[in-house]
Amino acid sequence: MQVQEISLNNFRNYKNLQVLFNPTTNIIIGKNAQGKTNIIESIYYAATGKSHRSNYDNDLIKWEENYFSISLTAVRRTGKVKIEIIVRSDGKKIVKVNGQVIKKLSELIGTVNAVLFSPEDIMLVKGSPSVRRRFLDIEISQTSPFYCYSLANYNRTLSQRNNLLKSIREKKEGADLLEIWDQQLVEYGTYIIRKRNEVMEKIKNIARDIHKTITEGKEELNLLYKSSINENIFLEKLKENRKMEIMKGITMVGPHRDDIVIKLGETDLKSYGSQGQHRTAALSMKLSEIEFMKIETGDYPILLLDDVMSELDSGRRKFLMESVKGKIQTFITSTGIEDVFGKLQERSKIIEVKKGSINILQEG
Amino acid sequence: MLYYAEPVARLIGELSKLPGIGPKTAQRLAFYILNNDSGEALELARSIVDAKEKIRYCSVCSNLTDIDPCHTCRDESRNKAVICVVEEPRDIVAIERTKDYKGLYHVLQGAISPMEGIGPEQIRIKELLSRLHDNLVKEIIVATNPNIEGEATAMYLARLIKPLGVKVTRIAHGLPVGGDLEYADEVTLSKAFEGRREL
Repeated sequence: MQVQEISLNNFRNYKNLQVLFNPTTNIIIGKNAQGKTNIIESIYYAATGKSHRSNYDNDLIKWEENYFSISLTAVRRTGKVKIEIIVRSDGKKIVKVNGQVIKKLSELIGTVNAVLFSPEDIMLVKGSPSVRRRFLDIEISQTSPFYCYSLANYNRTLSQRNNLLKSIREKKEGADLLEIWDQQLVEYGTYIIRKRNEVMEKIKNIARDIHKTITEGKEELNLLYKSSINENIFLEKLKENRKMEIMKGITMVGPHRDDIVIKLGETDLKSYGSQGQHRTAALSMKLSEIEFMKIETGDYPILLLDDVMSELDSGRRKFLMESVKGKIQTFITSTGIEDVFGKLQERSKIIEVKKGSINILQEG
Repeated sequence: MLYYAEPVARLIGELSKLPGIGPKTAQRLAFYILNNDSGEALELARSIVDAKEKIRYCSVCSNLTDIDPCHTCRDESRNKAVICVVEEPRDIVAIERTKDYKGLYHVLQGAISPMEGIGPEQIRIKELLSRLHDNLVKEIIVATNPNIEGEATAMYLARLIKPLGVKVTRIAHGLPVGGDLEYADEVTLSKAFEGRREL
């Protein structure tokens, strides 16, 4: 899959911007706070309908404007596709795929698949379980609309149920009402756990191989999906925990309490690993995501590397570039080109960003 | 609103409180009303007041009606052994359009949703139960919306009513009739597979 072109209006610090991209590598350079990441963000937004940096669409509208728009053209294995998104400051959001307005965001997902790697991804190892669940959820959602739907339904059931638990605690409702939510919670929850386990089985082997290569055979990465509940006793467990759940006002078991355990050999990486080891493990997981999508969809996703080159040592940088070269369209932001890219820059398009306008340094 | 005479500003203000009407549309509607002859404006005002005054909930099925019990509940030709349970009055209109269903209705006026503070007490479930006392009703068809709250409400009704010896059924969800399989979205298609039946 390749993004050919993107046009922005009033997006972040861009009034009007149109860029054509190179099918292989695009390097976006510039000093800090000029708008490099904004270009990456706009591509990510067109692919997922969300920003990776902000939960509020209004943050993305240029200062003193009342809308932004993104138009992106991409080539997939199956043909050309055009995504158009307009977001107004009153919250109205229109998303079109090939000129057709889509009603649900879940219909956009999977049109253009993107994998984003940014310095915050180290949190994949160091951060809370929710970061790791999100990693899996985004990955699976991009390849399965039904998963996306089930996850949304699970989350809604969960908040309904938690609200009810609190009402029961305050004696506003009876505990017998819980049963009507339990069944749906178990139904969607079981599907989510099953799907995550299934995907984890595929990713873990890919990630292990990648990690072995990066570390030149020195480290063995073991990923394991650790569920808070065995699906066969999900419903019984809910009944068993009833008193405690009412007291706490929250649902204590289910996929929303699950985690991925990351080990090097037999050692838990989260508590014992070094910063460098964390970073490498995160890189291996991200790269496994790319291969997974290729397997599931038959097409490589695009790769967005936001400010990560300076974080990696030269060996890892080299590995990263080798593994994407020629097959994955990549977008890289960096403050300079001097030492970071080496040979890579030869056939890349180099775009310089300065205060919201661009200058093509090299067509590639 | 400073530019308008007070009565005009008030009209625009009232109109923009309606769902789906923004300030611009409210303005357009207001000027349309003002430019028409006063007879039409009076007619509009009267029909609003009239509807508001004459329409109430049917004491049997909780649908909106001008007579109590409502026309459907009075209709002797309808099958009194079946009650179809819906969330909103407009759902009845949709089902009536099929011209296939000849039973009675019951409008819950909502669905159970703890997030919005709506429990079984806040919707018209008690009224439904009181209709089952005379043993005339043999089947309850639950036609609440196929979303989380609608399903939970359906489940609640099943648990409540089945022990009374009344059959409780749920409408099917799946593919729209007349549509091509290839145009169905994945979720609908997956649901349709789930609810497949033997031929």
